[in-house]
Amino acid sequence: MEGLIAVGILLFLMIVGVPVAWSFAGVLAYLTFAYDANFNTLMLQGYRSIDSVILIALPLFVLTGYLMQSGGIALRLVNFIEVMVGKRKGGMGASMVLASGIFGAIAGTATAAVASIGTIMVGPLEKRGYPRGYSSALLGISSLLGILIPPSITMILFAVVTRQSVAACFAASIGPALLLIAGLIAANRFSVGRLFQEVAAGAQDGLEKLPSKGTAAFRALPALSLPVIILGGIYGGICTPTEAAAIAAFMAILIGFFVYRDLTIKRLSDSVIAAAETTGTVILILLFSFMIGRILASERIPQELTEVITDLVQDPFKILIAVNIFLIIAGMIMDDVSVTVVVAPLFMPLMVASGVDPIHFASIVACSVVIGANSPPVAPILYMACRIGQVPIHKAVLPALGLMVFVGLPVMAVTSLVPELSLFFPRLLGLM
Amino acid sequence: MIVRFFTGLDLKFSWLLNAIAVISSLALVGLMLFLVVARYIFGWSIIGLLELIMLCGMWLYMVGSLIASRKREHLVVDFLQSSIRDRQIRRMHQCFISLITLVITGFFVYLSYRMLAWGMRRPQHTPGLSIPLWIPQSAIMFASVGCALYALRDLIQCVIGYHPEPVIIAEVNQQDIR
Repeated sequence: MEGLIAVGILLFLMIVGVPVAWSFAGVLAYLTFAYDANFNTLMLQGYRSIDSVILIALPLFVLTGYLMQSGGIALRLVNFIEVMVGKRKGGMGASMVLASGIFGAIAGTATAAVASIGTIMVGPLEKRGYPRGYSSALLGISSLLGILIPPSITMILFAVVTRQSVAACFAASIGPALLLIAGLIAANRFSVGRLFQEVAAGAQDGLEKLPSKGTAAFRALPALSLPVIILGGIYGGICTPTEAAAIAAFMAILIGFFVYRDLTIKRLSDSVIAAAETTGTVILILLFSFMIGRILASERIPQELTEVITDLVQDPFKILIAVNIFLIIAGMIMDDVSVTVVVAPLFMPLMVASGVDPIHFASIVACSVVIGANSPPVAPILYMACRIGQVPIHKAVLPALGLMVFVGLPVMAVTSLVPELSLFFPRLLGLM
Repeated sequence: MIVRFFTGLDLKFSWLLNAIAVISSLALVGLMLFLVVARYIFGWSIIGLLELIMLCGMWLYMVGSLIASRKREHLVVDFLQSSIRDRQIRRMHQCFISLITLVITGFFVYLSYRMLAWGMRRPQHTPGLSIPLWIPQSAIMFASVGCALYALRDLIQCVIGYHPEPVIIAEVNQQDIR
């Protein structure tokens, strides 16, 4: 009963507009009194939970994302991909998807990808005949590849709250990410000529001003080396994800200052402060959710939830479907961080009892976050994409729902029902 | 006069927060990089370096959350706020949110105080460098008090109608990144 009241309080506080971090703190206050928790040690437990070396990767990857924008790395990446595939039919839309994928392989956040790629690409896309509403919807869902392609902040949070291997969680979402990339490119190709007419590549879209393929590839080489260093470092056993994050941030500073020369002291300082702010908003949610989790675990709430659900539904397949639906609804009314840090540990015992591998569950959660972050009413990434695309939200909702129904949901369904899609890469890399 | 005093104070405090954020972030990158270089190039295993990294990390986290409070940038589910058109109702709604936030941040201050007081009675140190644990823990106390003060600021400003408009995270992020 107390658990249901806590959920009610959380939803009430979030929906009325109390900042998400303070909504969690409000729930914590209720649970503290309801279960008579020890005030002396409660915050100490929260402190110990965030005092984690793995979690240090969070500010470092966020910082890398900001530095990619301010240091000109994102621009070179986008230019390179535009030159390579931009002139083909549906090529500009595909460029956005691929650029988001490569961006995600460096930074691991969706917000930085939306801002970086959106500001560079929405204008040229419009000149090629892509309606802004459609471009913003495509930008919103493409940028979420950052959540699926390692390194991913969502997967770091999942690994920390459920005590799984970060590297294995990273690898689990590679399969769904590749599927999402293929699905988005196919859906975009299908849309061209049916939903809107694409204008042939010409002087008006700025592609002619871009360098030749060879020059663009040469210029993008330092930027393209970043994912190789990060992923090679982690999966080559050379460094931990946290160390890889530090190397990525350092390399982004070096490339921005000395190779592309777009980074200045002022831009570096602004990026560092913006990254600190972003990290600060996430970390408070994490701190309070850890403390809530401790209280819930000590009262055996996740175990009781598992027993109640398995009493009602015995078929693991139906349980998986039910959890999928719950995750999608949770994603529609909560932000991505909240879904990951609250729902994941709550359902983990149920998933394990149903025979779902925790690493497989990681990729299911990541897919649900992708869908939730673009599904109204909350849809933080879609709102942000619309602001970047300077288009009213109602013009992007329909294309976003179309992409969600025909690409996002099928990818989530395949991810849930075909465990091999998630477990192939972790097994290949010897992580499980 | 009072407004000017507090505005000046806020600007100085903002400078301090930004300075701590920059120093701790760069220290984090530098120390972590040094850890890798020391291990692979020099074959050193430096005792306690991770403790310093965690100390920087904790201050970075908490100062970051305080900066977000100062700029009203904490993540908000804003569809109710954005659907309110009437100015008066919007202001009342904002005051209500500020009041709830103030009460909750007060609880955060209390929890942080109890943690710090408990730690002072039973002093603990890190194993490598013997750093007293109250140093990283005080970052949480610092952030909680700061967040509560900014929640109080928001409530007062809302009541007197000084800053009635809410700020939405995505807008700010967009400007920052640009």
